[in-house]
Order: sequence, then C-alpha cells, then structure tokens
Amino acid sequence: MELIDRYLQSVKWMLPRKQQDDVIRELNDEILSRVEEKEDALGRPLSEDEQVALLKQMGHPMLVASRYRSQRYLINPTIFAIYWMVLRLILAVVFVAMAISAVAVAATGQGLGQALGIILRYPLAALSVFAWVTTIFVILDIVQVKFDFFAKWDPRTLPKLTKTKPRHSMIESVVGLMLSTIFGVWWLVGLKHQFWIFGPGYPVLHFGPVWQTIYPLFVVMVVFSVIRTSVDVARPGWERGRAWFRLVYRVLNLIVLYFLYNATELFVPGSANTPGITEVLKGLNTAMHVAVAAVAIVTVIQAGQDVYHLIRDRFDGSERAIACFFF
Amino acid sequence: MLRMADNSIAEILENLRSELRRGSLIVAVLAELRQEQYGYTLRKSLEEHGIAMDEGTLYPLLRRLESQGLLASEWREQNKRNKRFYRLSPQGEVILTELLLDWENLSQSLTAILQRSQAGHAPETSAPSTEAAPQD
Repeated sequence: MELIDRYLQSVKWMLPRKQQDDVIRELNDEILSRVEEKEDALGRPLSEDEQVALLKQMGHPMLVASRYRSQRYLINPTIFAIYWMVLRLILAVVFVAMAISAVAVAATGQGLGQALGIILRYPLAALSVFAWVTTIFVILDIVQVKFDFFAKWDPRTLPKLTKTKPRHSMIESVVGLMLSTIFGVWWLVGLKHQFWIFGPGYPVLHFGPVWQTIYPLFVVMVVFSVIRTSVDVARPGWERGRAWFRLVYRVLNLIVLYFLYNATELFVPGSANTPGITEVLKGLNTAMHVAVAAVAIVTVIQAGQDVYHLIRDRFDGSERAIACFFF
Repeated sequence: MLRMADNSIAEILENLRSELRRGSLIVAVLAELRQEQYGYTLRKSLEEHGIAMDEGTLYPLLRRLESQGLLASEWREQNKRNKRFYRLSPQGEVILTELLLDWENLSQSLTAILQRSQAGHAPETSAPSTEAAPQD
C-alpha cells in the first residue's frame, strides 16, 4: 500500500493546512474501501498495476486537492471588463509615449539603433504597467466587495445609446501600431541618413532638397500616425474618431504631395560619378511627378468620401437631407 | 473539420449536462443523508440510484454543505477503521424541504413547456408519416 500512502501524501501537500488531516483520513478510508471491494471481488490482493489504475481513477493529486479550495481569481470576473479596458488604455498610452520619444530621437538625426532601442524597451515597461494595474485592481476588488459598490447604482447614470458598428480586430490594430512606429522611425532616420533608405544605391542617388524642407511635416505625420493607431488599440469601437483621424491624415498627405509636386528635383545625383545618371534622374523625376499627381487625385477623392461619411453619420433623417443639400 | 465539430458538440453537451446535474446532485446528497452514512456508502447508494458521482466531487461537496450548516458529521470507528459519518442537520432538513418544493415547481413548469412545444411540433412531424403510409 506504499503507492496509496504516497498518493495521499501528495494530495496532503496541496491542501489548505487546516483541512489536511481531516481530508486525508477521509480519502484514505474511501480508497481502502474501494480496494477492499475490488479484493473481495477478485479473491486476492490487488497487484501494483491494479492499484495504479485505481489511483488514476481517483485523479491527479493536484486536481483532487484543488477541489477542496474555493475558486479564486486574481481579478474578479465582475470587474474584469473594466480592468481589461484600463490595462489596454495604459499600455497604449505608454507605447505612444515611448514611440514619440523614439521619433524625437530619430528626428534629431541620431542613429536608428538608438531610436529603435527605445521601442525595444517597451516589453519591460509593459510588464511593469501590467503589474501595477493588476495590483491596483486587486485592491479595488477587495474594497468593492467590502463596500458593495454594485448595490449602489442608478440606471440613469448608464452611458447614452451609441450606434453599434463592427469593430476592427485587435491583432490588426496592434500590428498596425507597431508597424507604423517602426516605419515612422525608419523613415525619419532615413531622411537624415539616406543610406538607410537607398542602401547600396546611396552613392548614386540622393533625395532632392525638398525632402529636407518638409522634414518637420514628416515628423508631425509620424507622430500623428502613432497616435492614430494607438487610438485604434485603446478604443477599437470609436468609429467616429477613427474617421476624423483618417481625414486629418489625408489632409497632411495632401500638403506633402503639394510640396513634392511643386519641387523640380525630387531626386538628385549622389557623390559617385555615374555615366548617364542625369538622363535616368530626369526620367525618374518626371515619373515621380506623375505618380505624385495621381496619388493626390486619389487622396482628394478619398478625403471627399470621408467628409461625406462624417456628415452622413452626424445627421439623421431630415437633418441629413438638409446637410447634404448644403454640402 | 467534421471531427472537430463533433468534438465541440460533445464538449458543449458535456458542459450542459454537468450544469444540469449540479443542482440536482446537492438535492440528492441532502435527501440521501436523511439517513446517516459515511462517504463511501453514500457514493455507492447514489450510484445504485443512477447518480454516479466521483470522489473528487462528493467529498468537497460534503465539506461545503457541512460548513454551511446543512450537514453534521462525526468520526466513529466501524470495521476497525475510522469513518466520518454524515447526516442532515435540522437546518439542512428545512433547506431540503424548500429545495424539493422548488424542484417540484420547476419540474411541473418544464413538463408544461415541453408538452406545449411538442404540441406545436405535432402537425409537422405527423404529416409525413400519414402521407408515407401504404394505401391499400
């Protein structure tokens, strides 16, 4: 019966201290009763394999012991939804703060490694946020149970009705936030240290002066883009805010395109003396101007659609008809 | 894909069954313990009546019901072994009576709902069999 004693010992270790002896005595009796029943039926003592089968049927010691404990949560399901919302919001805010720092470092012309290093410290910061928010909510839960906040509520204080629209996937938003930050930092560093963009072609090809003229505009766009994608993560259902952000971003795009279209040289020859490069750049600049014009036309159309949707969502019924008439 | 769907349905069914049984098990245990019994005999007796319950469920439940004052227990020696005997406490008797009343009401309501829903389906289900009957 050594196996049974070992089994009971394992269960005992995982039981609440006060219940240990009592529960083990009872379980011991249950197991021995079952052994006796089987031995009576077989007319012989149980083999080791049969004892193993019997104990396996009783369940893993950890599982058996767990049933004697009351169910525990780190965060009570009642307040979990608020906890999850706050945690996401703070994680997004911290990410935005770090991304803006990275953009600022990149904008001052420091190395890409230094700028990305700030972003790479995010997991550690996120862990710290998780620990703090969780601790605060555990304390809130204890306070909530003690003072029974949920008993003191008034239906009139509930939020007003909102139009429900399909939400965007959280993974999509998080990936969007990370990509926009990494791309933004790379772009800002690349404009100052062009080999990050042109790679082996850097000695042959450089950006024209216009790109440096509108550099502050790119900084604004990168910061705006990070904020915009962070809002997607923190408030996935905020469709109206999303539409406004999209419209402002398109307007910023149009300003950049205006400067690019009016610049004569978007690309200039690099330091290397490459034969025929002048002709190639002439063709490239013409093609780029055509492309810039095409993108600008598409952006204007999209901005028009955004304005239309914003107006349509703003007004209902007759109000909408009047608004459409005027706009 | 089909197997996955089968597994998922089996899992849902199992969860619903266990939810359906949970409340009834308590009533069954309380009712059985109108007569004093120890864990093993109680489990056997429930099993004989078609209510199988593993030890991992029964013993923690007995402990919980005792801590709520619905059961009383004492250790006594029987067949040269110490056993913990449980019986329904006076408070448990009151609770059991109430629960049985609720059970009866619930059962009557459910029966009425089932009868009504079966009556609603009756013409649809009986129609094809009438048509398919051989005409001599």
